[in-house]
Amino acid sequence: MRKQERDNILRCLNCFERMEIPSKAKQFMCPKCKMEYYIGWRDGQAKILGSVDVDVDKEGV
Amino acid sequence: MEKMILVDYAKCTGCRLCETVCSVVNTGVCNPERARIKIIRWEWQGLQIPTICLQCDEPACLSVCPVKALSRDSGYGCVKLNQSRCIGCKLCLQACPFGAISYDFVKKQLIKCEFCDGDPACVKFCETQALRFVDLTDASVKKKRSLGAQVLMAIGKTEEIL
Amino acid sequence: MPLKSKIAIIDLSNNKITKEPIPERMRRLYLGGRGIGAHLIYNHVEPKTDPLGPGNALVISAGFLTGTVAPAASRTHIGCKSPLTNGFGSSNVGGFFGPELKFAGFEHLVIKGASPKPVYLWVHDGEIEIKDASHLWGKDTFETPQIIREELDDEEIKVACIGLAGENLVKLANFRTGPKNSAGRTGTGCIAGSKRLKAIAVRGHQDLKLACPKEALQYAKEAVDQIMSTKVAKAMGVDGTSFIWNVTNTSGLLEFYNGQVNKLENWRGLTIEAFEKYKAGMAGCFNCTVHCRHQFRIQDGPWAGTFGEGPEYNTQTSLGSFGADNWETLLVGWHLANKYGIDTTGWSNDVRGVMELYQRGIIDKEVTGGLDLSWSNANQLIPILLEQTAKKEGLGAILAEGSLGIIRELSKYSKDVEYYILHVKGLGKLGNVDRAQPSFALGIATSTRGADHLRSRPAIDHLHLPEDVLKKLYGGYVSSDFRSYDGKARMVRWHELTYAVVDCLGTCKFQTVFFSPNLPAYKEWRKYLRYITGLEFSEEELFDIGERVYTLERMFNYREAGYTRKDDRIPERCIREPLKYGLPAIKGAHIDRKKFNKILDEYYELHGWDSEGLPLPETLKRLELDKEPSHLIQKID
Repeated sequence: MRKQERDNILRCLNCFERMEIPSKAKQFMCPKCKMEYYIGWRDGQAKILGSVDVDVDKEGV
Repeated sequence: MEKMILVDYAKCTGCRLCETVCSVVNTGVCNPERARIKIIRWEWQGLQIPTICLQCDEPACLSVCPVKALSRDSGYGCVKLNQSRCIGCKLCLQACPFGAISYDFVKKQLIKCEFCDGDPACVKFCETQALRFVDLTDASVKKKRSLGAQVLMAIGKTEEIL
Repeated sequence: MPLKSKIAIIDLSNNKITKEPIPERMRRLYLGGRGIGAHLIYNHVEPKTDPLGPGNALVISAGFLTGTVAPAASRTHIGCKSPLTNGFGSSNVGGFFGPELKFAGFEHLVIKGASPKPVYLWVHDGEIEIKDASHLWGKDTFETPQIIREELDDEEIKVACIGLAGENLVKLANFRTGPKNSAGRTGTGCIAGSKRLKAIAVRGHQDLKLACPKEALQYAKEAVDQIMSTKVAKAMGVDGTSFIWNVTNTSGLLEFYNGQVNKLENWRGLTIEAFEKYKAGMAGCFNCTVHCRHQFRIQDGPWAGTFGEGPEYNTQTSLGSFGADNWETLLVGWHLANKYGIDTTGWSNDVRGVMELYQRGIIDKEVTGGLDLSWSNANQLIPILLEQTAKKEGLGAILAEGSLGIIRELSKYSKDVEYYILHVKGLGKLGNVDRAQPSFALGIATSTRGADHLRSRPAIDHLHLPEDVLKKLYGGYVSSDFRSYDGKARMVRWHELTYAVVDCLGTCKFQTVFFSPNLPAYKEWRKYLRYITGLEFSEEELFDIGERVYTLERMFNYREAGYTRKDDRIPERCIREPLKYGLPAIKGAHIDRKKFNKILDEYYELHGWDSEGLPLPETLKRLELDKEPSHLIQKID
């Protein structure tokens, strides 16, 4: 199987480097840019659920 | 070795690819109306049920046929229709409690599923494995395993079986 | 010629129906689906006609391969002169309607004129009847198909219909073919309503012959295996297109509060994981192994028992952009938008704009008919405003006019209104950020149907693919980085033309280079065409067909609405307001006007258009478009 198609390979959404996620991990920090993500699993496939402690709107408009 | 097409109703997505490929293999054209399998959809209730010939051990179609055009094949255990004997009386269509026999209005003949000579096209193309071609001896335990997986999913234990 | 599908011209003013074959020459120039549809629209819509008048034509175009054994060969194109943009109206829908139309013997229906009273078309096995629909007028898009099926005593009939919105000539009205399947954009439902065409019912038992059945079947299996080996096919099969939401939300690439903010604190309530408790299964369109369509059921609360299909990314971002924080609000909004037959994307876009006007005090309760349009009221407002829009009551009467109508009506309160109603050429946009991605911005600015993300969106720009892969795919340099402008004009043009070809074929756009470079494209389509139709096309010929179709749509826009470079613009907000939040990679991003103009120039040059975006004479000649209008099919032969 192509490397990028393996189920535990994700791309960091901040620095775009490939991340190899350990099986069943719930959080993962990108080794290159240190951005930390919440990780979910679906049928053995890893996915990014959200990011930890990132700039968000808290005040509304 | 007798086999059956095991239907897992919960897995059917209603895409009807099985109907298209069945019609291509058996008639050479795309026409789901001439397929031997039919997906009955209740789209407003979100339900889809594959309906196929159940290859009965004591087929109603066989017992009503006045010219013995229907017979049980000992190989895969499917019920075959001999077109050269068939007179098109349609008693089999009427008699089958499952609607498994249908009428091909282009070729003007009765048709039914005959397992595509042991390599059913519908099974080959069914991505969700709602249709599986299994040995009759294994069918029940395979069904139980499918059900078991659904129970585990419902109680949130799926990770442990992946 | 294996596929003997016909074109039917239906004149509702005179109850006249003619049927014509499709000559091979037309196939070689326009292929089918959206391509032949564009040609039919260009020739059958009376120049400069009122979109709501009898001179407009509503063209239903199933794809060339729709109904055949090609993977996901389910799609149909619906086009007209749009009441929202006055330009090319165009929308694509999946499900089962198109295949049934092909089995009934037709690929295209050209509906002209207008009926004096409500009618529906009954298309069955080569025959077309115009039937009375006065008993259907006023019924929603859920009831109409069921009534028709009972009346004609056949549960397998497929029905495309309009709801209350279409009947009331709401400009955002859509054409619906199932619990969720909709030809959403550009107001095709409104045009049907103007012709008093309530529905089209189809039933077919005819063969679609294949040139090489054995090879076609074998290749179909190979193609399905290729598609299903990709990660994206698996993700879509479980989460639908909503799998994208987690990615864009994490980055900060969603638009909330009309694009003022791009990431909310309270995001967990809208993930696809939070949707799980409503999920009732996954369904698929005709012949599709990916089955990306959710089914949902609301179990308790005031909407208990509601069943529907959805969600998907588009509507999740559109209805989720008001700051609603729970799935039930979205699902209820979905359900009602589908019931009335309203385009969720365009409607949400316009409502967001109007809510910002209220937020800024530009309009008040007198204009809103007493409604408090604060963002915090989103959960309550969505159902109320949907009903008002469908019935053209209260604020709905203004919303029903679309982006340009709203600007026209409300500009008397401030000249800034135009800034806050986001649109391109009168069509609203998806609630996905496009100001961080030059390719996305260029795409919506130049799309032939207005601010639309499906004409050309190069979603793979987000995959950060290696530059040698991109060079091989696009035939020239394209930067890996979605934030860069380099090569993006080339990327956008390639995707435009490729998606035009997909829409001509009638296979699903998601099963192509939209999501992954490993999904089918020209190499694979040549084989579908060879085995299914017997016609041989080179990759260049297919690419030229895409270009011909796209250029023809652009010519239509110029003819009907005078669209040129000045209209190939993105909302000012995308240029003036940098993104406030999100990951460091995109925070602060906005479109640079000078750089945008430069890639627009590059884009025109690649297309063979002049600096105003109009096709040069030599381009028209090369594409054999210099003889348009060609006055109906016979002349082409």
